[in-house]
Amino acid sequence: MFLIVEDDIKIRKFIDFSLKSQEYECIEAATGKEAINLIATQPNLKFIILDLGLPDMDGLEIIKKVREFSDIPIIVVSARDQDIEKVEALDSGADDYLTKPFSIKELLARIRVILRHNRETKLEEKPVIYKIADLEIDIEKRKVTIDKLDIHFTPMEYNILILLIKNAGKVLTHKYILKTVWGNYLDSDMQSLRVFMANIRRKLEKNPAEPRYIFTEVGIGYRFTDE
Amino acid sequence: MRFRNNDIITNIAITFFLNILATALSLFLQHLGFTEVNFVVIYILSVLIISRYTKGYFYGIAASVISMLSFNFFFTDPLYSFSVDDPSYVFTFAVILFAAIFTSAITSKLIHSKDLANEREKQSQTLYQVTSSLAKAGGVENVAIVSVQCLVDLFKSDIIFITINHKDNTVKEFAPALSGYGIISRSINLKNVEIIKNNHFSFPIIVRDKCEGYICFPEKFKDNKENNLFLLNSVIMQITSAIQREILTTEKENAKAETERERLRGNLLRAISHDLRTPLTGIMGSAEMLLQRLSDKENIKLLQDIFEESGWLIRLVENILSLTKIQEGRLALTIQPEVAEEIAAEAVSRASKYTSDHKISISVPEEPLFIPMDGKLIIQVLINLLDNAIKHTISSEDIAVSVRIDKEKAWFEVIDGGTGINENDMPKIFDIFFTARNSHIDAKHGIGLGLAICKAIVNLHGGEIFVENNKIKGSTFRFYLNLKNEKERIR
Repeated sequence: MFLIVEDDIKIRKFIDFSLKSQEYECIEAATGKEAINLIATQPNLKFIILDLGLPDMDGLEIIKKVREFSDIPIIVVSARDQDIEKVEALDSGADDYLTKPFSIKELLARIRVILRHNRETKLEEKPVIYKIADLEIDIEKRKVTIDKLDIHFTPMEYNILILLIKNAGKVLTHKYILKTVWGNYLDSDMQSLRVFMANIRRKLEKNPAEPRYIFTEVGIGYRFTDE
Repeated sequence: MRFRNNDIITNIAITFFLNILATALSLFLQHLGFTEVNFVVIYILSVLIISRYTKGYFYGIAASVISMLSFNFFFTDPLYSFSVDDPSYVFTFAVILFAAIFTSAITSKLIHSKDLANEREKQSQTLYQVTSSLAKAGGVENVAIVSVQCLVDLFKSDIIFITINHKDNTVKEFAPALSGYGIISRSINLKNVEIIKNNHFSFPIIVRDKCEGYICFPEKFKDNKENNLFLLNSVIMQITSAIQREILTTEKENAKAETERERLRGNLLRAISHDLRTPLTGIMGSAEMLLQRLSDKENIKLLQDIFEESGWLIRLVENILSLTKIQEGRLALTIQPEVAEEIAAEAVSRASKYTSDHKISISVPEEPLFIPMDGKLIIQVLINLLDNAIKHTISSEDIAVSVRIDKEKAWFEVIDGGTGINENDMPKIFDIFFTARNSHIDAKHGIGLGLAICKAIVNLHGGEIFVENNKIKGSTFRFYLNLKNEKERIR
């Protein structure tokens, strides 16, 4: 069951409508309170679509509350000028974000990515070889090839690449990448992350400005393609 | 001229009368048995008095000579002749003459200085009066009325004061009423100004290289030597500065009112835009959803239009919001180094949503190029430029985005193969609400905000934006951002 938390009735209705058209079941909440109530009482909730700009409550509060007891997927929806909140939402545990106005196709695609991702992480056996388009990564051999051609990555670059590819389709914030790969988060490391990303991109992409694999979410982080 | 003749006659009369009086007195004293020395003193006294009551050196000197001759004629032997028996009298004559001339010279000089001082005193008093009445006058028209009054009082002449308002191109004429009381004003045609100006002895009033009006005297005014041109020039200077003061005050008030209006308009725009955003998102989403459910071609076309138009409106609303923020200086830049390719790629991927047909190519430097900027804003600049390029380019033509370095500057270019820009439109193209008239796209899709925002954002970054037509076809928009010294600019 999907929970749509959105104060604007029209947007809520059309999200509801488009989800139902994909045969997802939906319930709606217009306020933060309602949402909290539903989350507490509905045992078979499996997805939350959350508007950050709620009238009675900060959307971040809801994410934090939910994450205390559950890892149910959350997609955050917000206006373009709420970048900082988006990053905070992602760092607090939201799985992805969409900027208004978003297209339904995009929303559905994001939902599919997250659902598939969750299924994969639940599997006992993790894949050993990742294949996306021409790119192939063999985790055991630490080998990266494009079109059968070997590409050399420094250990740091390789770690970042693996982190991205394991979360293919999901946006990873700068902070998350730094925390995971560097082990801690310092603002001063941001610049080196960008340099690493620029280098990785130059090894992977034919034209770094027309990326096939790594997409930048400006002001937020990076997303590896999932197709 | 008659006046001057009278003056001469009076002066001559005074001279002769006093000389005769002195002679008569001396003869009377001689009769009483006084010595000659007394007569000499009486003659010198007469010369002194003559100098005092006549104008100029001439009468004093003439009186001296006449006094000397009279003394010779009446009191030296042989009596009643100009010849002299005792040569020692020649010395006496010389003393009389010299003393008389000397006294007369000093006296007339004293009188002259006194006159001059009086004149100056009068001038400064007049000027003071003019200045203080001008200071009290508010508005160009009142200054004109006061000026005419002052000038009429001062010079007792007819005067026409013409004011030219450059804002609304109105011309007004101020002149003393025929009845002699008060000043009348009337609007006149700009063409008549030249005629009036040329038929009169006129002085232009120049404020900051612009002629704000004329003060016109009758032609004969110039010939009248009685008129003090020095005083006139001072008064005109005072009037000019009063007019300048009034113009500046008006301008200042206008500017203030304009800012207030601008602020109000900004607030209104922002409020409207804010409220538009949410329903537009709903419209766009519903249209998109319906698009996936319908199969009828005509309906799909209609929905496609709703979808695209609402998307366009959303972009417009975003642009208005940014612009009002920039204009009020509320937009704080968050400047940090961004990689050129990421910015370009994001802009292109977002702009591509507005077109399914155009091919947009991107080229960036080989090495990663870090440019200090507010990434989101520069993306908006690029999107607006791309949006503009897409609008003016048919889908078979390419659009290219490129980033390159040149001397501490990062240059961004958006090159299209479209219709190009009319040379006349070039200077105005970055103005708010400017829309190319010859645009082949329907007019509503060019409210002309996009490019104005581009300029505002780029300037905020300390960069500049340019546009030029390509040699073959289409046009190129390019802007630069500084690679260094950006820290100094961050406030």
